[in-house]
Amino acid sequence: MGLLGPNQLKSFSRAGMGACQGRYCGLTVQAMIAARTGRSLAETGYYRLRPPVKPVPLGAFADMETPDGV
Amino acid sequence: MVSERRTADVLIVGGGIHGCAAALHLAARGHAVILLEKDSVGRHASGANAGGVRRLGRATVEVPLSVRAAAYWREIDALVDDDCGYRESRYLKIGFTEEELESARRRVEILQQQGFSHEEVIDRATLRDLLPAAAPACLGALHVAGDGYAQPYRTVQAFRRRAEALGAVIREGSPVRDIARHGTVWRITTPQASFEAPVVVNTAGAWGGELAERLGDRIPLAAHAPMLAITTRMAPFVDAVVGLLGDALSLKQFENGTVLIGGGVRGIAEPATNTTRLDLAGIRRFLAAAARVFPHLSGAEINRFWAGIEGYTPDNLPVIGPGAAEGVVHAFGFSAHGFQLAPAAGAVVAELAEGRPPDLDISAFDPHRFPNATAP
Repeated sequence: MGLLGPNQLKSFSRAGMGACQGRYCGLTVQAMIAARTGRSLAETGYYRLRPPVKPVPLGAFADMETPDGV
Repeated sequence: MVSERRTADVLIVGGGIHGCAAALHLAARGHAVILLEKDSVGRHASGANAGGVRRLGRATVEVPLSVRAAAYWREIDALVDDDCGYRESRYLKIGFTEEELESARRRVEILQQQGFSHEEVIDRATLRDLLPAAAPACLGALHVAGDGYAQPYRTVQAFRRRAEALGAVIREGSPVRDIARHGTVWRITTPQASFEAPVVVNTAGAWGGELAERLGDRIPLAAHAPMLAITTRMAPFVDAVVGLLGDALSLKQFENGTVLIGGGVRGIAEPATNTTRLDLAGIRRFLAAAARVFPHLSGAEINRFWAGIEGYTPDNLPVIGPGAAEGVVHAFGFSAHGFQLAPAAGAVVAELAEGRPPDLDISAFDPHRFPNATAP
C-alpha cells in the first residue's frame, strides 16, 4: 500500500471533506490505513484539522470585529 | 517499486505542478529525468490552490505564456490522459465604480494593441443576465469566456502519472541535503542516495529561493499562505468564476453545490515546518467581499478554511530562466497564479534545460532582474 497517510487519502478520495469534516470517517480511515500498513495508529497519524470544525455562517465571519479594528 | 536510477539528463527539485509538468515535457522529449520531492507530490500550493485556469487579469507580460497554457488546458486529456476535473467557465471581475470599469477598459485596449482579444468589458445589463444573483451595486465587469477551473490535487497527480508513464522517476520524501557541481554534473544527495545530472531544474516553489542560493543565485522570495474557504452544498446560483476589479476575491460554485471562496488574501506560512496559520482579519475581508457581490452568501455555512504555502517574488511575476551557474534552470515564485501556466511553463523549462532559447519571450521572468541577484 503506497498510501502516505490519512491526509493523502483525504486528498485522493475527499473522505473528510464533507459536511462532517471527518468526524464520522476519520477514526475509521486511520484504523483502516493502520491495519493495511501494519503501522500503529500514532505512526499512521490523523487528518490535519481544518477550522472552523463545525460549519459557521459566512456572515458571522464577515461581520466579525477584529482586535485591530480593521 | 523505487527506481534504482541514480544518474539522469535532468534532476528536478520540487514535485509541485511545475516540477511534474517539466518532468512530463522532458520525458516526452526522450530525456532521462529524476524528480526529487521533499514531502509528497502536490503537498503544498499546487494541491491546495483554487484550481483557477484563467487568462483574465494577468500582468500583460504574462499573457502570451498564459494564452499558450490555455490551449493546453482545452485539451488537457491529450497531455496527461486525465481531464483533471477541468470545466470551462467564464471569468468575471466585477466593478462597483465607474473608475474601476474605466481602468478595465484601458486594460482591454492595451491587450488589444498587443493582439489579445480574450478580455472585454461588459455593462450592467449584460452582467445581470450572466449573474442574476449578484447585487444591484455591481456596475459591470471585465469578462473572459473560455477559461475554466480544474481540481488541483487531481491535476498534479495526473501530471505526475503521465511523467512517470513517459519514463520519469519521481522520488517523494527526498529532501536535498547536499548539492554541488562536480565537473560536468550536479550531484544532489538526499537521505537515501546521491543523484547526478548535468542539469538541475529548481521548481521548489516557496522553497525555491533557498535552493537558488545553494545553486549560486540570490533571488528574493517570500513565503505566504493564500487562504481559501469552502461552503457546504448550496442551490446553484453562479456558473462563472467571480472576482472583483477593486479587491481580492475569487469565487466559484462546483457541480456538487459547494462554493469555493478565496482570492489570494494571505495567511501566515511557516515553510520550515510545513504549516500555515489563518489570518482572521484577512478572512473577514474576502468573505465580506463575497457577500458584497452575492448578499445571500451571508447565510452560507463555511465548512472549512485552508491555506497552501506559496512563494512570492517582489514583483509577483515568476522566476523562469537559466541560473548564473552552468546547468541551472529556475521556475518558481509563481506568486499564487502559477497553476494555469504549468502546462506551457513546463515546455519552456524543458527547452531551457536542453540549453535552447524558448520560442517565447520570457525576459520579464529573468531570474536576475532583482538587484544583487547573484550570490557571492
